[in-house]
Amino acid sequence: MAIDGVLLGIFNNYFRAAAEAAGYTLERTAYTTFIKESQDFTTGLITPAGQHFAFPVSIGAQSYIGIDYSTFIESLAPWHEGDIGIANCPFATKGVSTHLPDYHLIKPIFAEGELMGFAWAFIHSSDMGGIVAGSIQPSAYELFQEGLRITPKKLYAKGVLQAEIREFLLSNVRIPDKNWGDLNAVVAALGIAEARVQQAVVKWGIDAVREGRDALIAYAESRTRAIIRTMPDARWSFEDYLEDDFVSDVPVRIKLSVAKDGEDGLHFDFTGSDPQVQAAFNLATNGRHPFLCLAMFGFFRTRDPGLPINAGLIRPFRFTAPEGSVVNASFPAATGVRYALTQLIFTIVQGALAEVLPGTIPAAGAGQATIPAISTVDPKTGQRQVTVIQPMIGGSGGRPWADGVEGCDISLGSLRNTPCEILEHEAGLRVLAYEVIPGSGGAGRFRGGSALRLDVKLLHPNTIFTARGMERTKFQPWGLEGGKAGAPGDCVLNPGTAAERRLGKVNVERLSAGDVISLRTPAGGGYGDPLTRDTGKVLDDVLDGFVSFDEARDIYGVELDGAEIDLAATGAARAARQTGALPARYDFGEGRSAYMRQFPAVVLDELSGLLAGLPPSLRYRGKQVAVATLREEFNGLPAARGWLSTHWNRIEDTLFGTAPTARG
Amino acid sequence: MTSPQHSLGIDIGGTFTDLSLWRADEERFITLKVPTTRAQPALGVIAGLERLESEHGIRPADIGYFVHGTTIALNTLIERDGARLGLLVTRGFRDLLVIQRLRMPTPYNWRTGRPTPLLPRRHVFEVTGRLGPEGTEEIDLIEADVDAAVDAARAAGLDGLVVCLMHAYRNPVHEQRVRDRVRERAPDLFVCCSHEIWPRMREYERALISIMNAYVMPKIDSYLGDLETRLAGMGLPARPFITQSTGGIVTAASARRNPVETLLSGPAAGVMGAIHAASLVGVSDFITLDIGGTSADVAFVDGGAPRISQSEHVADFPLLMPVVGVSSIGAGGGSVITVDEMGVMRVGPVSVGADPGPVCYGRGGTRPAVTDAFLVGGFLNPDSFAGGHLQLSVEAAREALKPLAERLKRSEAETVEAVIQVAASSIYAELSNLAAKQGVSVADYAMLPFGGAGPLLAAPVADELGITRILVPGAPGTLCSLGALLSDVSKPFVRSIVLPLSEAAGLLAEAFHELSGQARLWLASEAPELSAQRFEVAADMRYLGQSYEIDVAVEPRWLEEADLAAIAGAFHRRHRAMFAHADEAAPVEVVDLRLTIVGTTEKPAARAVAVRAGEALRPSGSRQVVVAGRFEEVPVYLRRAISADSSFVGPAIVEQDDTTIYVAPGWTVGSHASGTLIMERTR
Repeated sequence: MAIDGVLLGIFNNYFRAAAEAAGYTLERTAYTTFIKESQDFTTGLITPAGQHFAFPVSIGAQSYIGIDYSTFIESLAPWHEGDIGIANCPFATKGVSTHLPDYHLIKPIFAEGELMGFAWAFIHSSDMGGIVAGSIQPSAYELFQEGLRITPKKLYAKGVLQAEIREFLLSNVRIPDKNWGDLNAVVAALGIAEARVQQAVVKWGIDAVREGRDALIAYAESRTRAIIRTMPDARWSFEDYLEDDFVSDVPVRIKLSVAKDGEDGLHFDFTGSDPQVQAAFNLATNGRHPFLCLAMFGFFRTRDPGLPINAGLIRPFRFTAPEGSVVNASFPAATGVRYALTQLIFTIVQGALAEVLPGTIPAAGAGQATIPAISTVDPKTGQRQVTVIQPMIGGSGGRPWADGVEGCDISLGSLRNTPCEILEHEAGLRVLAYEVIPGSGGAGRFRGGSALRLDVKLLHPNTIFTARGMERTKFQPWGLEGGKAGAPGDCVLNPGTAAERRLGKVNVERLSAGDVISLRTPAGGGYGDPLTRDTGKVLDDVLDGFVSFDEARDIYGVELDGAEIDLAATGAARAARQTGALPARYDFGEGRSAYMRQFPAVVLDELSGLLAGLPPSLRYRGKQVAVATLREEFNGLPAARGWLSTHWNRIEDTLFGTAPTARG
Repeated sequence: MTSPQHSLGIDIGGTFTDLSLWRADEERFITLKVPTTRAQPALGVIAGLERLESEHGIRPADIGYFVHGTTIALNTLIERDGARLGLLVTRGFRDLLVIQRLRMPTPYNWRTGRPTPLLPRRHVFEVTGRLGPEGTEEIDLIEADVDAAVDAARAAGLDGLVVCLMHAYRNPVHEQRVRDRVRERAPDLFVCCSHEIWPRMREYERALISIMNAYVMPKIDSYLGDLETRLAGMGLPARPFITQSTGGIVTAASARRNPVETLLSGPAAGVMGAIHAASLVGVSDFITLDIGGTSADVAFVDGGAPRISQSEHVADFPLLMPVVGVSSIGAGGGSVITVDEMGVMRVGPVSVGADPGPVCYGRGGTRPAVTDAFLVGGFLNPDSFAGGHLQLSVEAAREALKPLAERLKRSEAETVEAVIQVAASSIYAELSNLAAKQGVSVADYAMLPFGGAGPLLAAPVADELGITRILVPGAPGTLCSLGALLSDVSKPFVRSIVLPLSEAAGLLAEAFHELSGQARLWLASEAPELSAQRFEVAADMRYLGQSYEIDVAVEPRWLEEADLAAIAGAFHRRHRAMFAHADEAAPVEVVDLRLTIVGTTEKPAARAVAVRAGEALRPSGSRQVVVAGRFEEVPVYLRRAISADSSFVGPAIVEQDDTTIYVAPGWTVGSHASGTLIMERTR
């Protein structure tokens, strides 16, 4: 090739800097606080074929690496200098956008008359119209409720703003000025990235840039494949659940089987995952998407910290994601809260890897982000004001080399809290406690990161409290290799008073001045047998109050005499409890274990096969009816394999309305 | 300097202690480098003073002004060997130091984690008592909680206690009561309260400032005490001044009270020295490029003033107080060069550090670093590195580069060229990000390189950035000690406001009077001899509802006359300059008012470098140097031989004791009367 490793190294620096400079420009000039604070945007460079060849590392959201833009690009061809395409529809773009609040924009880059690629950016808009302010409502059951749907359009054509598109767009959202301000920031950012590529052509020549662009992807791909090559040639699988789908109490199951695909590729097969739900949790992946393998990217980047970040990371993957399932939803599924499922898949991939690469993968972290918010009426203006209190996540899983991180999971580690002093200035509340929950982290050789507790006292009458995104209130973050599951999350009203009431998963609560909300996150699972935990660490945990004296003795087998370890007694206690038996690889905790006893995996696999025979539009309802029927039939006892197949016509009768009395 | 006595600036770095002495009788600067003794940094100072006497006849008794930069505070934080502390917090906030700001340094990387707190959870004590956000008491302070904490701290043998209570930036009453109670019960424990140093809203960051302060205090205290005794013992009459992270200086007594303000003083002094050097040639907008053994640091200077940042990090912790904004951008002389299995070259981010250092140091280093490539490429003279204090091994460096060249299938010269280009491109990448963050165009700036490797890489980096002018000061290796010597006495003060601008007139006027009074009192006790003084006033402001503030310069009379329109106008203009938009109809909030008092010190003015008219500059020799991937015979000039009217073109090498300058092809060198070299891009 005309470009060698030295120029490739330089191109890697140069184009990453181009993507990052665009990102910093976007952040700097954006209007909405949300974009500046939570960095829910990204910038990058893509090839004419729609693949990322440069992706920012030091700024912007990292979960969009390797999205395929080809449909978006083709649907607006031919491209001219000065065009800018815009879209937010997950289905019309085949998975470029993953929910309607995300605007994606692309701008062609021409040099010497040739299309060299596209500058790209997306931003999460604080409002895209639709059912609620902010556009995201878990109970939305179809896309049309979730806001304005933009199929690919040109916002600029040959450098001219298409005023009708702009007018149409802004007249459908609640905060048109801010949206337009943010879009202008995107336009500025795209211009920066475009100019950088054109400068590269001047500097290194068009042939070198064309070749380098593709070589960068090939380079990242080969480094990724080199990591995959070291993985054993086995087939492994794992499953996990959303505890419910918001509109019913039936858990949503995701099943993943992974196998090597050749010696340096991977096949991710989601067969057996539940049908898409009639709530906003669906993923519109078009069957191939980074959201299906984000944990692998984390794994690759942990293994090879210098790995260039671009579409090469996703190239070694082959996916099977059944159409109409929750991981490859069909139009017009609602997708607003798709990140809950993305988080879950992150944990599932971790669980699958744990089986094939033991000793390198952490236990499950909290894997959820609850966004509690209060809405009060400002006594001065009479306007309703919504304040997000704190992102409430919960600890990460114990790692084969270290304890989990307290209070925050690694896949959600880009979220920042709000100083409580600022919070008290801005919202009508007092923070009574913002602290870790002792004893919550899953016990293990390496302890799971602790849960967080936030107690706030409301000061205004007529306060509406919501907590979007709560998960793991029943199905705990699992422990690994003998480590115990982390504590589940919860929400309690007025704890320790006569008015105490357990809220569990919060939907919407109308509360008053003086009420105290106590939100408790889940905690990370532990890694490894607690009886093998370093005794000094157990002592430290006791002295620091993460673990009680009794827990040290009962769970970790460490006998303490004041602030000293009684070595002899500890040795004896630990020896007496060695069973010699290998512990189960996963500890799922009581909630999920009970569910699995009632609905064994073989029965759920059977159900999945039966549902596949139904028309897609009936599968969700079919699942609800089948689960209700099994619950009634087996009354808390394990459902028997084969029973559903034998009685499937009964369920079909209910679905098609041919039964004598409707069930479910 | 009205006194005939000399003035001395000293900067203690990790490897060398640098001295810049203004020799009053000859009206010129003398610079020196002596090795740093890390365990006992005062020894370097003493050794430097002894050399000044033995080599230049400067007696300590003749040094009438003494400014000292110390890295003790920073090293104490990095090496984690500071005081054993306890922390008293408002009940419910025991995990302030564990939770931090929740966020992690590298999300998605399973090895990530927050920095370990400077004190463990077992030494955090909760105190009942509560103030609201307006500073009004909502729950009375329970002093029995303080007593219990003191007893526990005693039992644990702690050195001191830090107090950070909710909303103490608004009303210090509870913190003061806690402090008094602790002093009453345990006079031996030192106490540091969060309202005393930098009283701003944000409980974690405010606590951290006080903790860092208390953590480094005993070390600084004993070091400065020891130094003052030794200096007095040597007959040095001057009271030492200490450099600050803001680029100002304070007395040792002040620095012992608030050592947290010295944390980033080293880089700040470098920028102040650079500003001085640039001002002599009339340049006020430039980027500093300080490349040492382990890192490259850059700072933007606009209109002759450093950019003040309130969001720097130190030892992985955020430091939310004003400091000279200096950004570390990786790649130093010790950055390791690698070529992976796919033949792709990288420079850094791993560094061989100062120990063992690059292969050519011959101290056991085995991994090739940037300095090795510079040596092999002929840029460095193996016999005169670091003033001849370190003999470099060309052979060892060539051996270390050989496998890389083989993997690249390139010649030795081409490999050296590749290292320079890749290193320059990674500096370019980081610098262009900084420029995009700040919304400036780097090509509008000059570049001022310093440090051992700055002047070597400056031309390749400038070429990448489109910069066409490079200024190399007379003593680029000792710019920090020069900066220390030339800085003004100054100190910032802050008061929290947190009100919509429309309601803030009264509080702003009151805060201004309070802060200016405080500042005047401070300066009067600090340096009563300085009659020339001024205030720099700024407000941290934002649109109501935004979560970040911007720093807006305000004029004192706007505050005194309650000219809110002028303040709002300044905010909108600043917002537009930073973010490219402003909303003049939107309500504005004032978060803090800040005031810095500056007592102007007298600055020595060096005599101009002689013009030797008619006498053409001759190279001292020549050697084989890599130019555009090939070895070429390149002239070598001695810096001291360059007179004020000299001019020559690249490729060329300029050697001087403390650094080596590479003049790339296409650059022309001219010299200025102040001794600064000016390199300009000619094609």
